[in-house]
Amino acid sequence: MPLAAVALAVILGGGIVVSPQAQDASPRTLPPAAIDWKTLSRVYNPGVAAKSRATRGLRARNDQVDNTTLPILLPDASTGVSRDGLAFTSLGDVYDINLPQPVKGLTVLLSGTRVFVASQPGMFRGVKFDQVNMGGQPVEVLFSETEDGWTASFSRFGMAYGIEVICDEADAMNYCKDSTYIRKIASGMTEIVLGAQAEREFTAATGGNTTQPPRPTDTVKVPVNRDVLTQRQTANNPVKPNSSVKP
Amino acid sequence: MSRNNGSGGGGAVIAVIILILALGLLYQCQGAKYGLPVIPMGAGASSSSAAPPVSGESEVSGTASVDASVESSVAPGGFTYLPATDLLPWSWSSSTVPLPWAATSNNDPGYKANVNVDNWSPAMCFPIEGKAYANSQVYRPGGEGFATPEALASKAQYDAWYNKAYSNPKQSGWLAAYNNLRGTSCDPSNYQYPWRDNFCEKRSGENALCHSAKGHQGQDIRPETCQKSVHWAVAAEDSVVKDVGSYTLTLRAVNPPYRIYRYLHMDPDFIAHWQPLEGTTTMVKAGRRLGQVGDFGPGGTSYTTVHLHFEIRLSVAEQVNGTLRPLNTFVPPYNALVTSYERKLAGNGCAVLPW
Ligand SMILES: [Zn+2]
Repeated sequence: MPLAAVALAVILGGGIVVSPQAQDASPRTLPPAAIDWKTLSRVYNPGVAAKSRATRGLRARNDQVDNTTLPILLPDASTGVSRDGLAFTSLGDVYDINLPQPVKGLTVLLSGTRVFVASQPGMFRGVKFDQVNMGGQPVEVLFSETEDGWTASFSRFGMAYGIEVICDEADAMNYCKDSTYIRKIASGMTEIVLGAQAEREFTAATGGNTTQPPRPTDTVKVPVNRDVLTQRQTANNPVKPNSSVKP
Repeated sequence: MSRNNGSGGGGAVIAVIILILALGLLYQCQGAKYGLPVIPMGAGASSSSAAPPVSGESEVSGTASVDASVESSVAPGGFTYLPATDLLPWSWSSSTVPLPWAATSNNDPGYKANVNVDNWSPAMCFPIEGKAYANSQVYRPGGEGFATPEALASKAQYDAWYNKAYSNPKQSGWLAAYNNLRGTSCDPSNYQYPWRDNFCEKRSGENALCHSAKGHQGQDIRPETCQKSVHWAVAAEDSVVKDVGSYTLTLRAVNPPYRIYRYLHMDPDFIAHWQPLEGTTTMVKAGRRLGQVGDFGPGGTSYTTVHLHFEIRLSVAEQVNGTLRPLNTFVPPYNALVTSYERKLAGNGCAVLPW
């Protein structure tokens, strides 16, 4: 665009036509980030390790945990988060944990990833982090209220971790009326589980002389279900399903 | 904006300038009514014809500097859209409904959208079957931030309808007063192009990418009609089902960068079927029907206009003192929606997999 035309458009207070091609510009996905095993070994003291032995109740599949390449963070007992309905899904460099709570409509979701997209310079200049004491470690956390709850985002050991609280039934609303509940969870994210692959990396990076990270033992082996609807007769009906299935 | 102005061409520039001048005239005509900023849209808007996008939108800003608001292209099906980050005037300001007799200003940076216009999911499937209309649910007819021209005709009229509309719903006439005041979400003008970005529209929730660090965290999209539980939402990418709520479905894409997609206001009867079987992981293919778009909120009750609130979340990292600092954030879905919709209209969209 000629400079004079740009100037004229600006003087007139108008905008500039967006060229459709420009919308294909896409942020770059970075290779899986390096894990800061040194820091992990420093904070992974016997106290934390002892706590994380409690994670043996992790109802996750061995293969999913073992294939996860980054440290898995869990809320400790101080948070009061129930693990009774825990569901764990791993894609290797990213994992998701779904923790439905005994209160109807209250769900806690956890995630971790080592795959990031490169930001534009200054993209997060408006971000206001809160300092959270996470098992004695000061960690910068970004809390955001969402349409149906709260999210918390923070980084540890070079990885990105997320907590999400969803309140979508009347009984659960108190847990999302402010950030108290998610802040409590954030400060209790002190249990660390390493799957087999992560443990190998951890041992190699730290010389194997640090506290032995425990692994979940009584895990459950279950199959991956490709598409749950194919296994459910009602779902193959193209008309609106019977309202009796309403949660 | 700087990265997008490279290929406009001289003819386009002249066309833009003419349009801008026309807009200026339009502003002067309508703005003169109250000597103040006019309501952002809807004055007499109707579906009678496929009006030119800009004039059909009554695109009039309260200041001399009209925002960039020229549609960039006309695609198959007459699809047009306004540029990313060009939000409806008032929808991002810290004022409330743009009452013509209130001393409010549209110069307020308020919730102004961020300057990030990247395509954050360049290959995704468009998440709704059929035609769709991406636009504000709050600041258009039927929304809390909208007032009909009739309601704004006089302050006495507005107050009368307001008081009635927000009285006890059991009182007779409240609904008629509400409709007079806010219009209806089924207004044909809500089901017309051009599309308009509403990421960062005024909301109480935090959004790191908005000017004020608060704002709408996704894009609202109306399906082809205002009927709920008729139009299908489909998976944007090959994904695992991450969570099923009472009106929400959350997917995690299985390929890097492992985007999270959220679908809100879904018909609970459908999404309930995605509740994972104990101890299993449920996967869906891109284009898979997920359920039908509705107006649902907490507890699966009617809650909002019939639309899909569509979110993309990602882990984005910036360099801080030589090391990467990652952050999970909402990213603007608008450009990804535009390009996926264009592919669909051109016959290159994703194959829809049946329910
Ligand atoms: Zn929305």
